[in-house]
Amino acid sequence: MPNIEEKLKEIMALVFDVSTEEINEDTSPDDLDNWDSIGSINLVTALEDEFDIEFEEEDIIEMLNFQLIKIKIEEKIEA
Amino acid sequence: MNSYLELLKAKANLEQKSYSHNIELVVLNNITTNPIKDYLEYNCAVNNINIDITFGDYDNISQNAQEFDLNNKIVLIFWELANCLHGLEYKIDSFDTEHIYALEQKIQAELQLTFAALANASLVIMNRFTALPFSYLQTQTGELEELAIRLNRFCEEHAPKSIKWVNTDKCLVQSGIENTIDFKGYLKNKLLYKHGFYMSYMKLIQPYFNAVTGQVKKLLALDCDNTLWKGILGEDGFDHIAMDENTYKGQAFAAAQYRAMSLGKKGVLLALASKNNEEDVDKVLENHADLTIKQDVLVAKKVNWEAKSENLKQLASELNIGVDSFVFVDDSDFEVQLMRDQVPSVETIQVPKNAVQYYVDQQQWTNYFLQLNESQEDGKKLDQYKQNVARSKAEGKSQSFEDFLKALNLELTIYKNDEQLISRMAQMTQKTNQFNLTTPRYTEAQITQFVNDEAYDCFAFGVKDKFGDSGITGLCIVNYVDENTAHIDALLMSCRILGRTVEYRFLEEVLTQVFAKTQHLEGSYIVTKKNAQVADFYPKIGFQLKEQSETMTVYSMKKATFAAANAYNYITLHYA
Repeated sequence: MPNIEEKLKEIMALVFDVSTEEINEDTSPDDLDNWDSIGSINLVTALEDEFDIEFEEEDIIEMLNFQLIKIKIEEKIEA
Repeated sequence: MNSYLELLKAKANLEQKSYSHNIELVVLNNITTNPIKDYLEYNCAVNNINIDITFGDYDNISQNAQEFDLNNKIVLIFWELANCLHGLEYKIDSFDTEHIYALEQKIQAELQLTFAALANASLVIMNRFTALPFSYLQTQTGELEELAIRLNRFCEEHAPKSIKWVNTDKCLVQSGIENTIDFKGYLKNKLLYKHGFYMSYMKLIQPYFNAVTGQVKKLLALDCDNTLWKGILGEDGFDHIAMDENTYKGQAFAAAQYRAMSLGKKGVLLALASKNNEEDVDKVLENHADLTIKQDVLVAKKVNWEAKSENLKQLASELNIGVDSFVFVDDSDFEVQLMRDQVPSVETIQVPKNAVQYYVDQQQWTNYFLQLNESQEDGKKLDQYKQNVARSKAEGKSQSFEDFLKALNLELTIYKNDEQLISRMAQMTQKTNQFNLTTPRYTEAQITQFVNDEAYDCFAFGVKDKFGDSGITGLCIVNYVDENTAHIDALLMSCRILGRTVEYRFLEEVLTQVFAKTQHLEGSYIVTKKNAQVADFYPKIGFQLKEQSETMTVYSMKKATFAAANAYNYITLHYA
């Protein structure tokens, strides 16, 4: 689902205030200054807005990089 | 904007630039409020302010207030009562009196420490204590609500007077509890508020940021028809405009007058900006029994047929205040859009079509004029301003009006002898007073006769622009008296379409049609109490004076002297 990947990239860029070029499959909290605990909360809010899904606490713990977040979103949408 | 994500997108789409004003803000909180950063940055950018935001540590308000350098900074405090103790909202009713008392003493001590540390801040905005998110389903007043009441009273007595208090219950009412309170977020991350809350909250506090950066409005310019009163003075007449507060129809408009006057009392300048005959409006101001707002509270009246943008620019220079300190209220899409286009620094308020909505929205008028120190202002400056107006003279017009018209995508549709429009044409002759050269009042039977008679042509028209369609709003009836001569029997249009040169384009087309059939055309202007604005219409478009009496002037034009000027090519013309 390339659409999810593009949207995720766009949203992460918006939330963390960076350009989409700075985000790749492996981007993790270590790579972006604004990806701290507050940034994670904002990211979850924005993703819930976009995909009309709801994350649970255990989901959020597993969202450790771009790739893992993408998989999580796909699971949620399929479910 | 319906979600946090939409706000982020809107913020990303803002032009990247440095704004004219700067503020530094410190947010102190005992719950997670970090998303407010994006809302603050967006709203300040829209209001031409760069904002630099620092957050205090979570749940460390009084200590942060001591430690931080608050000198000349703005401090925003979210002191959430329910989180003064983990789970207080469900625990407090189980506490005994001593326990609650001890807790209250602790909060009061922290408040005192905080207040003492805020003396050097340029502005402090703090939320009132509230229990509403945790008590709105409960019949009896619980301990959390009682505690909120007592703490608010304590703040009134001990807090510096300079603190601006915000009642966040208003956010819950504005956006609804389901859009403002995030109970799941609260239980997970102490994230109590969500999108709707922050949107409403920004609406409530933005006026303070505008005030602290000197962006306070000074003058309220009001349209008359369908703004100060219901109805159109020039068409409905003196006796049929409504502003009686004892009628449903008039009350929203009476309310508007009172709202304006209460602003006047606070020192806001009030002016009229209306396309009307000045004497008609003066008559209302002097004699109308239902009128509340009187002449003497107005700093100026710009009642004429000129563009309102020009009128306001002129008024600004007469008063010697910036036009960016003006708020303009009008019911017309056209006037509001024209103002936004021509003088974007004027704040515009469009009167909603629904009078009840108008009545409700008026609550917000005062926000534009919010001052940090209200008591410094008074209404006495009005006289000085009035003198300024008297001294000043009219200034030149803006060059870009034509460009504005070009951008409107004006479309003129002409309906020639259209049987479908007979009742509308008759109605127009009966209702139109101001732009009406001869003011004949025709019945449907008479119009039917004209439409079917070879010796008459009835040209009706409608105007559309990018803001909307005004419907069928003008009429010209031509009578071919003999082989070589025609008379313009009727020429009228609704005032709400004037100001866009449509009248000239329409008549040019009518003349082109008429001169295809005849050599000589006459038109007359018959004086009424209401049609002074068209007294010079025929000479303006190239007619020659033929005869003149006190009540009537006859003009004529020969085919040889007529040439379509094609000056109004930005108006697209077609036939229905």
